[in-house]
Amino acid sequence: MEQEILVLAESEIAEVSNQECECAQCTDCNCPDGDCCTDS
Amino acid sequence: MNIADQYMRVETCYTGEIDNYGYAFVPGSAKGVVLLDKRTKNLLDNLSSFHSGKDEQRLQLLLQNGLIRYCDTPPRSPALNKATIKSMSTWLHITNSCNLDCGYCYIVGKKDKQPMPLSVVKSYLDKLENTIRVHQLESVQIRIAGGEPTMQKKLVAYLAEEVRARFIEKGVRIQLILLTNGTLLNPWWIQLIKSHFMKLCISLDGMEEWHDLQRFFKNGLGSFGKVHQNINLCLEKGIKPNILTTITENNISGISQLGKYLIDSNLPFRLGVYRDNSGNFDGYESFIEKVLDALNDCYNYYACAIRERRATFNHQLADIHLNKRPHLRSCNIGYSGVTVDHTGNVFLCQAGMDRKPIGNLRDQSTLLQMAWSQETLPELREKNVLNYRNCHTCQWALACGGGCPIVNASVNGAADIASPYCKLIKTMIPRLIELKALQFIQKYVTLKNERR
Repeated sequence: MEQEILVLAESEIAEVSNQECECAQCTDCNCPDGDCCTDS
Repeated sequence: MNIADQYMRVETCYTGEIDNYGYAFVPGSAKGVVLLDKRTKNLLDNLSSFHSGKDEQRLQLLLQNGLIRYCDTPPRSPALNKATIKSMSTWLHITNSCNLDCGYCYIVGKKDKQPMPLSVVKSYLDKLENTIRVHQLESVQIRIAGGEPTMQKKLVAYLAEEVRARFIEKGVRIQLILLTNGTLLNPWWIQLIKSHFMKLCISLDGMEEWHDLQRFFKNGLGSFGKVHQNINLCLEKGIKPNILTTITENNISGISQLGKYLIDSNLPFRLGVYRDNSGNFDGYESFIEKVLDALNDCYNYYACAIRERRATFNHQLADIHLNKRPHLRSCNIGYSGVTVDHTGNVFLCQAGMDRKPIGNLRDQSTLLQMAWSQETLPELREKNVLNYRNCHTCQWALACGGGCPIVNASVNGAADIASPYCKLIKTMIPRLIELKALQFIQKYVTLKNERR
């Protein structure tokens, strides 16, 4: 049987802004872009 | 001609397989980790395996997700653009004083016990207001640090109230972040943190004696008991602190145990590395080998905990960024971040306060203009990781940013040379991507089950 195609990017899954995000990176973000929310 | 011949895999694309899924990741891509079925993953690894009539949709999806590109279009080349900065951060060093006496502390002039006077806080807020207006900034992060900032209750409370009145109530997004050793946290601090939506970072370098070995009170007694108690207090009151750990030669053997505790507690944590070996590259290799052993142990445990849904991946290693933006620098110094000390002097970085200030709050320039014209590390004025020596061809450049410029400069003599931790970073990025992929698989499986 043909395998179901799966190509799913993280960015397609709902996110919160880094104001609410508790991830390690957002809590201590020091990247050049500042608002680096990412994982949620 | 095979239709796939017009495409090529994006040069920096990394692929892997875990738990019967494939995954791919392009550093700096807005897509993040991309989950793949195995056949699509194999096609990405070998485009010449394309089967006409079976793989057209796969090819299109790989293209849409930035994993392959047309051979005749040049690869994208991101650049830093000061004109587009909408967010900045300031490290506010409010005091040299601290109740601990950690061996690796970088603060100079510890005899100067004076906290930041309110007149300097006001000058800072005026300067920040001016900076926000001139550069039309939308958000600012203020890291409240020292020394130990929780020794300055009135000052921090005043700062938080002023920030609310002067900025937040007028629609500017300001995020306060308290960086503390955690020993003095109490219900008063919990209340302040909650009422101002502060983010909280607590330093914890190991369990029990491993922490006490490098973070002790002035009388020599270890601080672990107090810090651990206060982490629990925060959790009881609904605050989840981000744990900051510094790995050194001293506590390396305790890192695996600490990692397991943090994973079991489902606490976000960042691991940094520190070697007091300025100007000398020797010794990094053996230190890195020890760090790799400890991290591999931690990450194996993390993988099990994610699979068993006991933990969610919530971790940062050093300055590695696996989010959805290109990281042309490992941090924002000299671009969109400055440090302001308790006297009103402005510095390139908090770890460079022993160097000449790049300005003072009394100067006419905005904080960003001071960052841009700094002469502490002039190579940072124009350069980014894509033109650092040894970094420009690296697959991981946009996830690593070249490493800490201050460390690079102290070890290599210039900031625009690859980090002495390059091997550590290159070895661990694939492991971090794998953990992110595992987390993503859990999320995907949950969503799939919900839709059934």
